[in-house]
Amino acid sequence: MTDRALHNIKNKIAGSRDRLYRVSLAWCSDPMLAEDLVHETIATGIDKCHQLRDEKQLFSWLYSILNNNWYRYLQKRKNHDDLNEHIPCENSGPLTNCQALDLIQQVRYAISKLPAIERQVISLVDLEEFSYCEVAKTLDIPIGTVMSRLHRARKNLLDIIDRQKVEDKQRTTQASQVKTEKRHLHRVK
Amino acid sequence: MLKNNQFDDQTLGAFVDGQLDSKLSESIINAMEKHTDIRHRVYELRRCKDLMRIGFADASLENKTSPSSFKWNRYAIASVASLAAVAIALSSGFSGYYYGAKSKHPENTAETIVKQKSERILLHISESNIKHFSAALDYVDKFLKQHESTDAQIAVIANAGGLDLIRSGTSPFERKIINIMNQYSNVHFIACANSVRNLQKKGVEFQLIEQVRLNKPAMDHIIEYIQGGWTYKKVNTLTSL
Repeated sequence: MTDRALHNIKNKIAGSRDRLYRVSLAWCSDPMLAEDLVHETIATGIDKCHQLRDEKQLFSWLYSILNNNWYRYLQKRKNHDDLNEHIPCENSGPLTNCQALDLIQQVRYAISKLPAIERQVISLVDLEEFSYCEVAKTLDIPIGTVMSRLHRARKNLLDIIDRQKVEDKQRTTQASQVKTEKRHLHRVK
Repeated sequence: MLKNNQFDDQTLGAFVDGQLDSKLSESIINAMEKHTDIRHRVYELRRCKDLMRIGFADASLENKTSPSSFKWNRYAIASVASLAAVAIALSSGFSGYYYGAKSKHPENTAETIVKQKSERILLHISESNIKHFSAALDYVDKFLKQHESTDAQIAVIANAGGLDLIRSGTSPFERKIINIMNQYSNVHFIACANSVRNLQKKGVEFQLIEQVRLNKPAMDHIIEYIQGGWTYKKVNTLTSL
C-alpha cells in the first residue's frame, strides 16, 4: 500500500469517530466507556492500518477492533457476567428513573436491557446497515447465529419499548388520580 | 394460495434488511399485498429498525452527555418520516412504502434543520372514524383557544379514509370546520393529493370543503412539516390538551 493510500485510510479512520461512537454506545450504554472504546479503536486502527488488505473492508475491520476492545474491557471487569447475560445498565442513571422517557431515551433504555450479544448484532445491522455476512465476519459468528440473535433482539426491543409505554401511561393516570384526590381533600378542609 | 406462516420472522427480517434475492423479495411483497398479517409483521420489523435509528441518530462525541439535546438531522428525519410512511402505508394500503423506506447512511455532519420556536402541531388522520374526527376537531378547537394571539399553528392532514372528514357534502363536521377556518388564520386543513387521485380513479364524486388545501401527497407534507419543526401527532394517539 502506498503512503498516500495509507494516509487516506488514516483520515477515514479518524473521520469515523461518530459512526463508531454510535455503535459503541449501543453496545455498552455508557457514554464515557463508549468514548474510551472509540478512542482505543481509532488508535489501534491508525496504528495497524497497514495490515488492512482490502480498503472496502475498513469498517468491518474497525468494528472487529471495537468488538475486541469491548470484550477485553468486559474480561477485565472483576465480576463480569457472561456476555450472553451482560446487562450493564440495570439501575444506572437518570434514564431508568425518568418517568416520562422520550422516544430516544426509551430506545436507548430498551437496548441497554438486551443481552450484549443481541445489542451487537442489532446495532451493526440497523445503525451501520451491515449485511448479515459482514456482521458474521466482524463478530466471527455464523450467519445463522446473526439471524437468530437479530430476530431475538428486535422482538425483545419492541417488547421493552411497548411495555414502557404502557407503564408510562399507567403512571400518568395514577398521578392524575392523586392530583384529583388532593384537590378533593383541600375542599374538605 | 400462500399461507401466512410460510415466511418466518427471520426471513421477513432479512427482507426488511435487504438480504434476500429478488425472487424471494418479490414473493414477500406479493404476500404483503394479500395478507394483513404479513404486512403487520413487516411493519413491526421496520418499526424496530426505525426506532433504532431514531434512538441513536444524535449519538456523537460532541453531544454525548445527554440524549435530551437531540437535534433533528437527516438520519432522524428519514427515520421519523419512515415511521410516518408506515402509518400511511398501513392505512391506505402497502404501495410504495417498502421502496421508499430504505435509506442509506447519514453523514454525521448532516445539517441541523429544526429549531422549534413556537408550538406547531401536525395532526394526521387516516381512518374514516367519527370518534377520531371528533377528537381531532376538539383538539384543534382547544389548541386554538389556548394559543390565541400567539403564533402557534396547527394543521390537520387527511389521507385515505381520513379524507371523509374534509369532504364537502359528506363530512358530518363540515360546518364546524368552515367555522374554525373562518375564525382562525393559524389552522390549516390539508388533503392528500394521492388519496384524492385514487378516489377519482375509482370514479368517486369528490369535492373538498372550501379552503382545504390540496397539492401534494400526505407523505411529502409530513416530511416537509417535520423538517420545518412541527410536532407530528397521529389522531388515534391523541390525549386531550
